[in-house]
Order: sequence, then C-alpha cells, then structure tokens
Amino acid sequence: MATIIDRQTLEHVASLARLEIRPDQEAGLLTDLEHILTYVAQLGSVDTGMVVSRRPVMTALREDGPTPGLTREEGLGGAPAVRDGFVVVHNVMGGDDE
Amino acid sequence: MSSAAPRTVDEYRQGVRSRTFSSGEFLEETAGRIQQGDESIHAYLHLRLDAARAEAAHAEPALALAGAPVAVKDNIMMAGERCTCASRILADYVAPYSATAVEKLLSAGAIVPGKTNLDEFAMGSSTENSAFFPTRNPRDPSRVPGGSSGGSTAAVAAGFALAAIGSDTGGSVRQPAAFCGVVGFKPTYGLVSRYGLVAFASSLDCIGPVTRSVKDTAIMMNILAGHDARDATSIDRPPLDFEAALEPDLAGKRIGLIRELGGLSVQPDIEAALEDARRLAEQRGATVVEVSVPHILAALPAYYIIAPAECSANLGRYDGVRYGLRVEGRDMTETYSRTRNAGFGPEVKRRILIGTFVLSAGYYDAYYRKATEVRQLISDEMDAALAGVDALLTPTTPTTAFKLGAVTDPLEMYKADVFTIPANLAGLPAISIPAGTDSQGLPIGLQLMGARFGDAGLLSVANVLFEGLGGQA
Repeated sequence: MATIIDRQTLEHVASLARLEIRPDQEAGLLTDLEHILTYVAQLGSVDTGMVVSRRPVMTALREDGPTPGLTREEGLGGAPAVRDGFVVVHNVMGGDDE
Repeated sequence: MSSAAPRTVDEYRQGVRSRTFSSGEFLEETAGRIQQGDESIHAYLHLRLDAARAEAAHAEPALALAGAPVAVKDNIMMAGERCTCASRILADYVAPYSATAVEKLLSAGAIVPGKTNLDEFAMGSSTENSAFFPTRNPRDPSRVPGGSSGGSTAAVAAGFALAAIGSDTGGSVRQPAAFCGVVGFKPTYGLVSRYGLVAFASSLDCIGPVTRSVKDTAIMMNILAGHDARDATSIDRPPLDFEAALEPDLAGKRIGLIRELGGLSVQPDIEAALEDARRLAEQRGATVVEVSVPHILAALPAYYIIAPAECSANLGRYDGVRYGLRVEGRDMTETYSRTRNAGFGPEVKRRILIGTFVLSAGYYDAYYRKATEVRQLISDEMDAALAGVDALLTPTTPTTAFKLGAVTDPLEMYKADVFTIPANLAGLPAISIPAGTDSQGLPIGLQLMGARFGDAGLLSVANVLFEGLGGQA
C-alpha cells in the first residue's frame, strides 16, 4: 500500500513549518506520522454531503480604532536583541548585517 | 489553625469570614504543604510564595474568593510572572499582561501561589511532555496526573491550592481531574475569555476551573464567565448565577447514555462506577435513556486533524524574533529553524508537522476540509441528542491513571481522549466529577456533557451526582 507521507513530503512539510529534521530522527518521525495520518484518514469514509456549516464566515471583529495596549517597552521587553527601540534581526533585504 | 481545615473554597471563605482563621494563616499552611510536598509531586513550575504571603496579609474577606490560594496553569498569562507553557522556547519569557481570567480571579480576591506544570503548549494527556519535568499523581506518585493540566489538578488534589484554572482543548482539564480525583470543568466555548491564554487550537481552547467540589466550580464560574471585548470569540450573553442555579435533586431530568460509545473498551471498575451513577441518578428522580450520536467515534480523528492544523498556525509565532528563545543562524530562515528545533519538544514538533501537512496544497481538502465537515456533523448530532435530555453521561477516560513512561506510542496516548474530545469539537460544556476509586485505589472520573450555554443546568445535575457519589474530593 502506498504510504501517505514519504521522506520527500516530510522534508517539504518540515521546510514549510521551519523545522529541520535531523537524519537520526527521520525514520521514527515517518513511522509516527504515517500511523497518525493513516488513522485520521478514516474520515474519508464519512459521508458529509448533507452537512451545512454553521460557522460564521468571519469572526465578528471590533471597530478598527486605537485602544489601549502594551507600551513599546512592555512589548519589546522579551525581545532577544533590541537596538534604539527596534528588534534586531539579520538583514533580509540582501547585504550585510549592520 | 483548627483541625477542621477547609478543603473547599466555600468552606475556606466561611472560615475567613467568621474569623476562625485568617487568609494569611491559611496561605502559610498551604505554603508549608507546598514546600514539603511539591518536591515529590512537581505540580508547580515556578512559585511566588513571598508575593503570595504579602497579598494574603491584606486579602479582603468580603470578596468572592477572600484570599483563597488558586493555582494558574503556566500557559495562562499573569503579568510579571514567567509564562513558559512548559517549553524551552519560552523558558525565560515573562508575561507583560494578565489574562482576563487571571484579572477576574485576582479582583475576586484569589492569591496565586505559582504557575502549574503542563504538557508543552498544552499538547498531551499526561504532563510527561513538559520540557522541564513530569508532574506526579498525588494519589500514586508512580503514575501520571493526566494532562495537559496535570500540574493544576495535582496541585488541587494535594492541597497545594484550593482551586486552579487550566485549559481544555481535547480534555485537558477533565482528564487530569479524573486521574487525580478532583472536579474539572470545560465551559461552553466562548463563555470564559481566552485573552491571555497562550493559543494552541483557537476554535477548541477553553479555560476551565479545577476544584474539589461542584459548588466550588459554580463559585469559580461566577467569577470567570463573561463577555470580554479583548477576545473576538467571547460570547455576549446575560450573566448567570451558577451557584443559585444548583438544584437539590434531578426530579424531571433526563440523562442520556450514548449508544455508540457502548462498544469501547473501558476498565471494568469505570464501567461499574458508571452503573452506580446511573442508579443514583434514577434514585434522585432522573430518567436515564439511550441516545444516539451516530458519528461520535469520528470525533477523535477529526480532532487530530483540526487541532494540529490550528496549532501549526498558532505556533508559527515562535520564531526567535520578538520574544522567547533565539538560536542564531546565518540568516533569518536558519534562525527560525534552529530556534524552533531547539525550543520545541517532540510532541509539539509532531503536531506542527501533522498540522502543516493537512493544511498544505494537495491535502487540504481531503484532510482539513473533510475534518471540519465531520466536526459540524458530530456537533449537529450532539445538539440533536441533547435536545431530548438534560445531560449526557459517559466515563471521562477509558482507564485510570497509568504509570509514568507506560504510554509511548503517540496514537495510543491520543485514543485516551475518546470521551472528552466531542465536547471540544462541538463547543459544549462538560464536567468530570470524581466517582470513587478502582481496585488499586486510583480515582475514577465520570463525565457529564450539556447543551451549548446550558452550563448552569449542567453544573446543577453534576452537583447532585457529585454529592451522591461521596461529595468533596
């Protein structure tokens, strides 16, 4: 029987999720994920043709206006690296970090 | 302190108000129990006993909680305290604000001795997935307390708090409550604000109280329930008085047993406890009937598609940029992966991968979309079943507490949630009450589920059975 998830798919999914899989973890993960996905795939046999969603199309949102929130200091208080009130990260535009 | 030490919030506040003892004395007693006993139980991840002592000294007896010690699960924010979610990725994170639920408890006079242990990011059924250490079941320390709110239920069971709050996404308040022999309640989705609860699966997560009596559950719900503009899924309904709604018997009430659950393998002692509860319900005036929820067994697979999908979205924010652990890479992409690899434990990674898979192109329709349709189907069937009864009665768990390390297959662990998951999918209120012990002395829990927004009525039914089955934990 074809597997649901092969090594290539796992690597693709891991890359989407920004998780690397170490080579020594790969086999175990593939086994676990295959079991779980095989188990949940049984839903395919449930007839849902008549089901009508009762969920709202959109969560009710409040008006788009400013309300009290965290101060800049509070918001940045947990940041690993801060400079002049900004969070410091690697350059994403191309070029060197400052 | 007198020898008749209070075991419930209700008893405690009567004692404080009648000046039998002070909140400071009681907190000191509780702190002593924690300092002596938590070394072997590990209910708490981190404590704030000095702050708690200072607060207890000025606790106001007229407030609903009157200085009672209430523990808070460490995925619920309390300003100025660490909020780790039992994960390395947030090991040093300090909450810049308090959850609405915590603000409400503090305004009602609660004193928080500390933050309790959990399975990492609330993913698990044993608290063994905590990145720091497992919590042990106070009734048998070689066994798990259940999860993911195992720290909260262990704290209440061991007397390290009079009550606690936890979060319940697939059973994470009810199942550990059953394993530890205390009361655990998951309210109707939207009744208690999720603002300040670290999100795992946003359409399933509920904050719920852990207590030693159903009356205490009602006291806690009077404090916790209510509309909150800061939670877009918070429901705006007229307030209920859950305490006032408690009735003394079940006259005229109907209790349903779900036919399709009958074939599941359940520990015989638990089956026997269910039978006892059924007879008790009839003695108290209820009619017990069989109802059908034809697709209830599809709830587990639907949950294990939807919850991982939502978790994969919610945990995307842990990237080492704005808060939490950062492990540097050569560029941002590498920084994200290194951080997440170092910061997340194996169960969290598994669920993120499953979630990402079921949401990805080519698989979305067959898995995620299908699961949401099955979810609606089950929800409709539950609503139909509940239209004819006041509550549904099931075991909370198929077994009593298992030994630490006994369940290593993730799928086997997931299947332990078979009774609790439907209420999360449908957004219904559900409670686990203690119902005696098995032949090894391990606590048994039974579950009652009610109609959406029928929380007060459900607590009333639960209270009658709770009292009849032995009363406070």
